[in-house]
Amino acid sequence: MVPFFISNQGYTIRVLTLLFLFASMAQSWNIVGGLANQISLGHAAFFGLGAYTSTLLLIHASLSPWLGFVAGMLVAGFTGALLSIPTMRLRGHYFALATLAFAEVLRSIANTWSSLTGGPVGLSVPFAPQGGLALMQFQLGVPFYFIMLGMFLVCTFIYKQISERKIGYELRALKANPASAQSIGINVTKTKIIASVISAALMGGCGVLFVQFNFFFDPDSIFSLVSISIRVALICIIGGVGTVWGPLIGACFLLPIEELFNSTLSAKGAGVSQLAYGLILIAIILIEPRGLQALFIRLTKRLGN
Amino acid sequence: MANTQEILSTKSLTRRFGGLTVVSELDISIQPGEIVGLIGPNGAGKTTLFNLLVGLIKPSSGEVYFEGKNLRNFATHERCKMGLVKTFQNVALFSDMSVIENVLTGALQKMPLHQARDFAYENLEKVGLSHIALKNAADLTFPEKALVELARTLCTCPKLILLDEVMAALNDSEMDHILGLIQKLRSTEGLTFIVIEHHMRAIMNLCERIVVINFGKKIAEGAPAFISQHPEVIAAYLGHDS
Repeated sequence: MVPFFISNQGYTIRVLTLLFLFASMAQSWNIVGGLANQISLGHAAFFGLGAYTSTLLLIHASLSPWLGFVAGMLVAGFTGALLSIPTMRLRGHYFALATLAFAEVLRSIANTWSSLTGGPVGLSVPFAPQGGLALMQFQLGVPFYFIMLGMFLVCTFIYKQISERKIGYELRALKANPASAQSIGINVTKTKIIASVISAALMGGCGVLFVQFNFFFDPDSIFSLVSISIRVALICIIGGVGTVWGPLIGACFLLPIEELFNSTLSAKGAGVSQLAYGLILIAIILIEPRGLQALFIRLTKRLGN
Repeated sequence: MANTQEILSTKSLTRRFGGLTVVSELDISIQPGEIVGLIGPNGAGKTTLFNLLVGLIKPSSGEVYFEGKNLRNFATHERCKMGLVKTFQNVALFSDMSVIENVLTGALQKMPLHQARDFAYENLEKVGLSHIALKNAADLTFPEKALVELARTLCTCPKLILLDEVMAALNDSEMDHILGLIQKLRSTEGLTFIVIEHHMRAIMNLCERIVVINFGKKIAEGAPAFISQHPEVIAAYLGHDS
């Protein structure tokens, strides 16, 4: 309900909309990163696939973005399954590097295959002033605020369902000890593929919503290593990996300080804002590696005593 | 070759790591309801044999049969569903879960979550640890961890349990508790056990038959009294000069 109580609507709503978008992306990342402890640095791949799928279907087949949303999730989910087959035996850094490379390959392909993707120029969502709800285009920012909020609630609901059900126990078991998980009957391959598919599909859905909100994207921004893959992982890690509220806490913390540093420190010299940003991240990892959620719990306990 | 009477058998089971043959042409045969001891010096290939039996490692050659079925194409989790399970040498609990969550995870392949929880309590009760159900697994003592792992194994509805040094680092009364428990599980639930153990008192009291391996080969097999007098076994443990 926040949008109705703030005065300077446009800018704040845009920030809040992006905040919920990134919280949703971090929540979908949390399914493999948090529950299965597979630190992916390539989730931009699924984000970009979702974006290209719905936009190309809209441009060439006039398919409503709502159906494009479903198609984007299917394409991203299917790719998630394909990618998880060769990468599932990899652990730690090797998994991170393999996923990173995959997203980078997609970025190159999208840059090169101009006839389909428009190449480095990017794609624009055809503007339809009277499109409205059917084409997921709105005059004001408020509808998208609620769409992103809804997406975040859906991702969180799915995350919570997974973590409390059989598959959640299986994921935590194989995260703690894969050999022992197998020997008590858990099908590690199947469990990992299911988790990757759900995570990738949600990420693809986020990609569709983002392009409908933003109207434009190009390969370097949509498949971006730094501003998508790493940022999404960071939001979750800073907020609290494997916790329900970690992604939201991380997004509420990181995105505003990014904005703040960019607006206040950029003028002081090139790179100052990134430097300050990096120092804050290092400080948090040093103080509480389990993230801000754990830090809050620790502080409230200390205050209680 | 596979005798349907046997619950488990191996035929010329061999595993090489590079030039080193860790398990060599091994034939063993286990009858239902037996408690068989598996002993041998450090590095004899005992744990590798267990890993071959449950499929965590693939054999270089040879076969494993469970209830007459060749296990060659069955993954570890499928062998578990048939009733063949192992525990781990250093106890492999899921450290960020509570005791009850650890135990119920074992039951999830057989029943829905709410039933699994009740079944897990039942099995914790059997090993005498239902009072620590809500503790965090990482906070337990070693003997408690070993028992929780056993309870988790019981939740998979096993027929044959491979116990890899569950009694290491236990004092006498803790050991007696586990020994009694294994015998009770055999008589009340009809379970079969193969037990790797270094502690001679435990193995002599518990097993009716002992298989001794050294350098991956079976060097002796028989009743505890026979094994303890066997010259090759004594040589393997004490060295050839003695």
